[in-house]
Amino acid sequence: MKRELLISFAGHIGILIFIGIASGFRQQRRDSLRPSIITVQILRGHEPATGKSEPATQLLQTSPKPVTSKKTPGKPKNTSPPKTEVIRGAGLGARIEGASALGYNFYLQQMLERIASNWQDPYSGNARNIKTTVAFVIERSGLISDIKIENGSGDPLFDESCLRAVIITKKLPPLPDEFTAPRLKIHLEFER
Amino acid sequence: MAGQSFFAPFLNAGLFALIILIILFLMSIISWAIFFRKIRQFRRARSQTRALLENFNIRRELTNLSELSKLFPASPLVPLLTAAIEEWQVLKNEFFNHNREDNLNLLVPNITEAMERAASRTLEQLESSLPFLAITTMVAPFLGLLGTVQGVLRTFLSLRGAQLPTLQLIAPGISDALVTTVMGLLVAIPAALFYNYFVGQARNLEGEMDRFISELTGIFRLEACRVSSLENQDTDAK
Repeated sequence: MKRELLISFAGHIGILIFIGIASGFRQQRRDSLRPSIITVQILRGHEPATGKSEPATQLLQTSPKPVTSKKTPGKPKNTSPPKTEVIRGAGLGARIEGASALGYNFYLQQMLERIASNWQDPYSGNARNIKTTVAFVIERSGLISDIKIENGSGDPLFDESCLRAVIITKKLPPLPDEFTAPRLKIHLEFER
Repeated sequence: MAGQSFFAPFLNAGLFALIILIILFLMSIISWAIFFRKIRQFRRARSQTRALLENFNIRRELTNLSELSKLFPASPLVPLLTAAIEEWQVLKNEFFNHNREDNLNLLVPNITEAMERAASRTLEQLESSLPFLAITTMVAPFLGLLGTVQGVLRTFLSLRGAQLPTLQLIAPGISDALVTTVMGLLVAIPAALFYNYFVGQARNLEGEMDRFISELTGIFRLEACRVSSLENQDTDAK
């Protein structure tokens, strides 16, 4: 019986290693199609993606992939645009550069909803048009860190409200498996 | 991280699910080991039984039976044969000592019983460790289900106080939790297959043994008659 147990154990370990290696290969292939860190910009409002705010979408690109970094500001969108996608949720919109984000739209949608539900607009009801960009990083565990105001609106009250919305959200669900990099950098634009 | 897509649910599964996964893994190892052992045992038993029966049909002489049992040691019929022959020798000597040679066919039921005892022992040996497969078949899916239910419970508990519980919040937790059910079924299905296969094989061999017992009983009855009549002739001649 000892011999059979050994054979069986070896077989099980072999199958596990095989599956591990096979899925590792698959993962590597997927990784090669995808930049390690992608930047996401989230826009408030309902204007279409091809709208006026397009030239302003200047991303801090930390990705090693050159797809999005060769984007030149001010150029019209229809001349070789990077694949851009806009998702909307809860009154906020997220613009994602690079087709690689397609796999985890649901995650960004969820992030938008969480943050939007925590955001209390100090000027709700007023017709003011201001904009603040808050940058932060989502760790793999979903923890939000490195929160800072990137482009202030000049209005401290509004800036603080945006910062607060992100800070009190504190933790998001863990990053989805489709996103393989250890952290996801987000540029979230609050606009009204 | 290599292999993340496959192993991530295992790593995220939590302590409780991990323990269940380990138990299931051990169960799987043991049931496959039983499979390897039993398949060899049954294959040898089957082929040697077939060969033994072929030889048996050729020479139905009592003197040759003990020879047969040495030729095919792995056949489950051999213990019956040796038990019968031993019983026959011992009792026959006893009868001869008490000068009751003419009543030798009174021995036949004793021999049959000896064979039946041997048959039940052999069958027990053939069916040893099959109960583990049956237990695995029954318990592994339940263990898996337990892990899943606990994982789902954990997911929902972690949602307490969430403001917008969406499907995307729940889905990762539930998909992690389902891993134990998958493992449970992966362990249980082969075990169920093996169990039913081996029980069927054991039933076949049991039928073979029953037929063999009745055949041997006939042979011993004949032999008893033959010896008795020989003795009677001897006494008549005297």
